[in-house]
Amino acid sequence: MPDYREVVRERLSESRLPETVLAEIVEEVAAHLADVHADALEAGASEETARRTALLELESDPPLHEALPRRPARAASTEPWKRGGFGIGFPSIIEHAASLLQDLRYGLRGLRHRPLFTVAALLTLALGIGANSALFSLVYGVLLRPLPWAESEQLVVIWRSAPENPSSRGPLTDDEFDRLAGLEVITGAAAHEQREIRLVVNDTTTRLAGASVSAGFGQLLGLQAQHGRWLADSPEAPEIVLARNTAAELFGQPSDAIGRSVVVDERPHTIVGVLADGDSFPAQSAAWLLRPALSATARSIGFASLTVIGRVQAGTDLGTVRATLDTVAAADTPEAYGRGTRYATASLQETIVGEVRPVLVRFALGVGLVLLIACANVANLLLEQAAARRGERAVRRSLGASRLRLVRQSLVESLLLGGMGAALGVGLAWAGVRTFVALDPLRMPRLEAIQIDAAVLVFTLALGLLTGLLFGIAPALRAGRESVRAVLGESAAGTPSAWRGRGLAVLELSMSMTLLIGAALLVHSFLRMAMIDPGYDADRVLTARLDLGGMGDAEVTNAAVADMIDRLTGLPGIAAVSFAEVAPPAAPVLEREVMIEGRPLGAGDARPRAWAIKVGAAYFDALGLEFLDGASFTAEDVEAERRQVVVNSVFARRYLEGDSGVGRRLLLDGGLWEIVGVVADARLGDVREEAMPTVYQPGQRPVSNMTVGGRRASFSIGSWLVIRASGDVRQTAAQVSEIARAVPGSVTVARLDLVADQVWSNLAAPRVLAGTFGAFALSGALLAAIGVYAVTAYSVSRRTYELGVRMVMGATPRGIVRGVMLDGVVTIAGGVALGTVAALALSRYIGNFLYDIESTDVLTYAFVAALLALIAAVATYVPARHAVSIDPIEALRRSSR
Amino acid sequence: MSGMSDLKKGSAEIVILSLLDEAPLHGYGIAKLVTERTDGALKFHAASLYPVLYRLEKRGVIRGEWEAGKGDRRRRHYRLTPKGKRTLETQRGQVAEFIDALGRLTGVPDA
Repeated sequence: MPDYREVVRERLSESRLPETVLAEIVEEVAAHLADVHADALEAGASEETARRTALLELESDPPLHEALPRRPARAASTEPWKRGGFGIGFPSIIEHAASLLQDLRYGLRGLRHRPLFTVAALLTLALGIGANSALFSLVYGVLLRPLPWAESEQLVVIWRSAPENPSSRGPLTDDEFDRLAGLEVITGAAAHEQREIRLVVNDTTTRLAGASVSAGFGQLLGLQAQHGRWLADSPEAPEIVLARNTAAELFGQPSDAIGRSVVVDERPHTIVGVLADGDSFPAQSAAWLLRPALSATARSIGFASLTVIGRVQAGTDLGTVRATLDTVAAADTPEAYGRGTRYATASLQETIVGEVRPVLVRFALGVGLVLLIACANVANLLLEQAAARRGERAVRRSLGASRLRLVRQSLVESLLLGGMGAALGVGLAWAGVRTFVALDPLRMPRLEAIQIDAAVLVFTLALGLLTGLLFGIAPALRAGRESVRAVLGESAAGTPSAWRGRGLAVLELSMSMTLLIGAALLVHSFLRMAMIDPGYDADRVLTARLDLGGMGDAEVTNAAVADMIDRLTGLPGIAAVSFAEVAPPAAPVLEREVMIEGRPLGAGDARPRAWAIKVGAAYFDALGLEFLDGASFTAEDVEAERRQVVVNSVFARRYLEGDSGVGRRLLLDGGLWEIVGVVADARLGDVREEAMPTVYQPGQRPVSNMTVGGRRASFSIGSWLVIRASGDVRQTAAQVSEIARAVPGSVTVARLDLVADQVWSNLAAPRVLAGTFGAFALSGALLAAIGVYAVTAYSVSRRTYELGVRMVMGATPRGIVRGVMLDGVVTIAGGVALGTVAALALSRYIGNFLYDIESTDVLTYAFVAALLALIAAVATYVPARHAVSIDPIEALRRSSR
Repeated sequence: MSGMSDLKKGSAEIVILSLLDEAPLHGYGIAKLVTERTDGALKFHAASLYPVLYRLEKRGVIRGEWEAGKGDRRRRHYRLTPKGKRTLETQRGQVAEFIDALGRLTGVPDA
């Protein structure tokens, strides 16, 4: 009798069982083979045949070593000291992993066998998850990721806020900066002013957004140059630091910039450092200069231009800082800024990203809803699948698979779907984020901090699994509860699963209704913004910002500007050209106080405030503003800078008690000015804001020489040309550029824009918000429609037999369709009703973003309800039509088989 | 799909449990009895029998003990645990139910 132990052991050589267990198994199986061998011999077989018969026992698929459990229990060893050596009471991770792996394999196979379902579910999930993870990467990058600067949570920004507008953020003077820097709560302070820097390299001029900064600015923020160093606090020669991108554009290699000499403000500056792009502060700055200390006289003018950044001690809250600032303000704000002026402060982070936070939060709400709709949809698909596979599960149950196993199997499939959806979603998110960053439609700060990184991947995976759990739990529980008898039940619509499907469809519809209402409100509001009449013809007005090329001699510069205006005036295609200190759609920075002659100010009355803008005589023609009273000042008045002004209608109504005020005088800039005309209102700043009281002063000299404290100094005001085209606007623009180039001297046109284009780009944020929400809402509605369609189609397919009987009994197709539609109507009505309630509750969150429309606008709600009902009705009608196309006899035969 | 392997595995389990319900048996004894009782229609190979036995044992449904056999060979005898008895009852019920269901669906009485 051969010993089979070696053969068996060889067969099991690939198993990873512990030796003690293996030895027992080898012994047991070898004994079995020996018995087979012995019985064969007894039955008359030859030794060789007996041996072959015995070895046949080892043939199986899968091979023995794979079929064995990883850790068989061996509780009943006859040798008690060997007991428990393996696997008793220790839940084995490996074993769980193995059976999980089996579930995964089974799940994958299942998905492969149902390609239509799998593709539909995956696409739905990828969209929902991708949108969410793209948004998360924005939120994380912009709002959550710490700022790049040293201990940035201790940094605060300080401005002046005007008494009538506490949220306004005005600049500070040098004196104020000194005073604030000396406060005890502030351990370090620096100031900067944003300015345009004209960089001349090898006779080529580059205009950069930049900042001139106080000494200690780099130290305060902990700025580390990527190449070279930060600006010295008291350099021997003028220095400049460039952002990496700019250095690369100008010199190829950023490091090559170090030590190069460039001309700024007509003085040579040495490039001493290159800053990594993400470190730029203020955001989007490309160059930094040291701000020279002001002379005592310059200080005495009290010109406010500084933004102050302070570092507070760790743990100091903003409230303490505010209280201190209030004390300072109460003690000694310069009278020039009016009583009640206060200082405002906010954390640096808040300052940089505060404005985009609410928009991002709304986006998050929107994509969250889309994902929920996607979940409901997939849950519905899964429930149907689960119903279709009841037979399969019943067989498994009756053959010994435990409930837990079936629940787990079902969950593993859902998680698998969620995980795969997440993987696809990451791809979508990546593409979406790249596009978003490239287009930058919201002009968001900190764009460079946005990337698909580990945090985003973890978020996406977690979201995928959570999603899987969310939509998988209902079908899984159902799989566990089913009895074997369920395999028989093939009844109609009233079963629990059908109701669950309807419930999900109602939820989907209501969420999609909420999204649609949000989107409709935002779109409606945007359309209203786009249709605002600013009071002038934005489609015909071009604005040209003049670059004076350094102030140089005031006379020469002013003459060049006048020359340019002369050359343009009267050209064919140009109806009017005028100088303006500021051009729409940009408002003057400061409001000024005016006094009106013969209108005494009562105690406690607010002083009249107005924008004051210097403009040329043709300004009103150029904008196409009509005079309600009087007329414009003439070119001679402008030339002579006579003390005459034109006021707008809102100024006249508010301060002159009527549209007529010609002949009255007002006090402005320490002089008396006569009102010669009242002109129609124009929304010169943001078109969404009502026209402000405005005083137009005559003037077209951008530069003036003054003698301050015995020294000659040059000052300049903003300088723009406002041009009204009479023909083709684009052609006129080309003409203007050409003529401007021909004007001798250093004055050039820095940029030329059509006002309508700028108004449009100023509306980018609401446009993007409306567009994005519109896209969310449409995908939500599409998903909901698919959901409704699927529920109805499924219910129809389950009722094939019943519908067949009804048709045989004489029901008309119309009656059948009506019956199916009636079920649908209940679903739709439920969804719309629930959605309306949800939308009413949520719409106030977008109230702040709406222009000229209430968040409870009845018309919008009615329109959306009707639209959604229509979509859902179509989604119900298609399967209902299908129901009557069934041949009743065939239906009966199929069902009774 | 794994319907068939479930079937085999599931039927193997109930077959083994039913036999052990009558008397404790060693592996070869089980295999021999199955062949005898079904006139060879069902047959267990060692390679498929032992994995099932070990799995059942691990679930605490059966319990194996080494006992001295002929000559120097030990044999491992398996018997039903109380949990095994309960499991068997449940499975018998389910099979009856299933067969009933199958019968109604396929038109084969007592399929």
